Amino acid sequence: MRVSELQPEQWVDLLGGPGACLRMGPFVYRMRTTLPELARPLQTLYHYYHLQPDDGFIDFEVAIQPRNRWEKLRGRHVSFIIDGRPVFTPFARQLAIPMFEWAVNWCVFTRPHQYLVLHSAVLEHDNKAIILPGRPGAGKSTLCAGLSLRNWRLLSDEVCVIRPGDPALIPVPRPVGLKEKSIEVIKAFEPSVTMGPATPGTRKGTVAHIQVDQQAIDKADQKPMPAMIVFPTYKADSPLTLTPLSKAQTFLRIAGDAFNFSILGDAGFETLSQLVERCDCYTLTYSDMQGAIDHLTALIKEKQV
Amino acid sequence: MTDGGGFPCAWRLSPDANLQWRHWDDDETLIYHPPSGDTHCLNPLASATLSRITPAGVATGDLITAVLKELDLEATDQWQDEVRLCLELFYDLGMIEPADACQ
Repeated sequence: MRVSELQPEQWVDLLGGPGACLRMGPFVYRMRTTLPELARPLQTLYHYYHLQPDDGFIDFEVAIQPRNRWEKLRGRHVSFIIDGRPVFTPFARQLAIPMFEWAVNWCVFTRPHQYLVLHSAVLEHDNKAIILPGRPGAGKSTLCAGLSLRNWRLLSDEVCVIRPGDPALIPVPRPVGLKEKSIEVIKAFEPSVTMGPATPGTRKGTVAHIQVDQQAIDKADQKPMPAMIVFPTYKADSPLTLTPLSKAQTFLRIAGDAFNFSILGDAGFETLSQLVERCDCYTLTYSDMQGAIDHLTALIKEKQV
Repeated sequence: MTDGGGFPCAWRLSPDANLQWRHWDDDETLIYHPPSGDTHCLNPLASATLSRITPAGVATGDLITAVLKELDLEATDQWQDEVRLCLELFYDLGMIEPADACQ
């Protein structure tokens, strides 16, 4: 059963009661919240996700709620509780949606060290994957959103997950987070896009998330082979420029921004080496998103893996 | 034992270095040093220098001669100093150490 098949009140009861068990790639989350204002946005963002039976192994128990009666009475702040323990300082209740999304990502950033977890968006076309690493503000998520709205399959907006010894990339589909001007850029680029609410006042400014589409959920078991690594940078009024990047420099840039490269040690080095070896590596500067998407689509069609 | 100027006359790999190497079709080589968890990008001179150092040890003079020959560089004082500089750097990083006879 998909989340969309539940009546709104059933969804509220599930979140506020036993929790909603959702699979996100190899991970199963149990999501709970007693905040009624979160139910509708979460049902929008997780519209196509399948509810998992609550009888198996749960990787991450996540809850967002007042931590105690005092917090509940004041009503200003809420807390994140992961696997039964509060994490992070309590935060303003009106930031609950972006904080929730961030905290769900945080679980994958920090815990599953059986995988190499890199900081990048990943999408697939013709069963070949493009990896888009990028520092915050570079334009990674905007380009990721644009590609996912032009028939590329979203594997993840934030993490490239690889099991050492297996070169295929593991999808962890999650709502794509957009901030500030990117929100309007994407709405103009694809007016039919479905987004959650825009939340002002976060550390990144106004933030909104895109609903994960059905393709990303239904093909989440299909693991594409890596084909290209592209470091995108949005630069207003710039022509599209795709510049080859050496494999060594690519390696260093990705490793420097990876979540658990140093924790994995030799296995991390070996896994990342093999990933870079398989891929064509570039930097991309763009201002016209459709032009960038057309160029990347043509490039990946030619690439043999 | 030193070469008279205080510089060790032979070098060997540190016993726990366990370096992992990757070389692609560029003038860049990556090495991973497990004890520190650091990855380093080496230029051709540094790569040629480190790759010639064995667990058993190699004489500094022979090493410099071989490296400069491999890279088709003249054996000037400047290039010899560059190789010595690489050796000091690798020592500081814990990858190599003076061979027993030179300590």
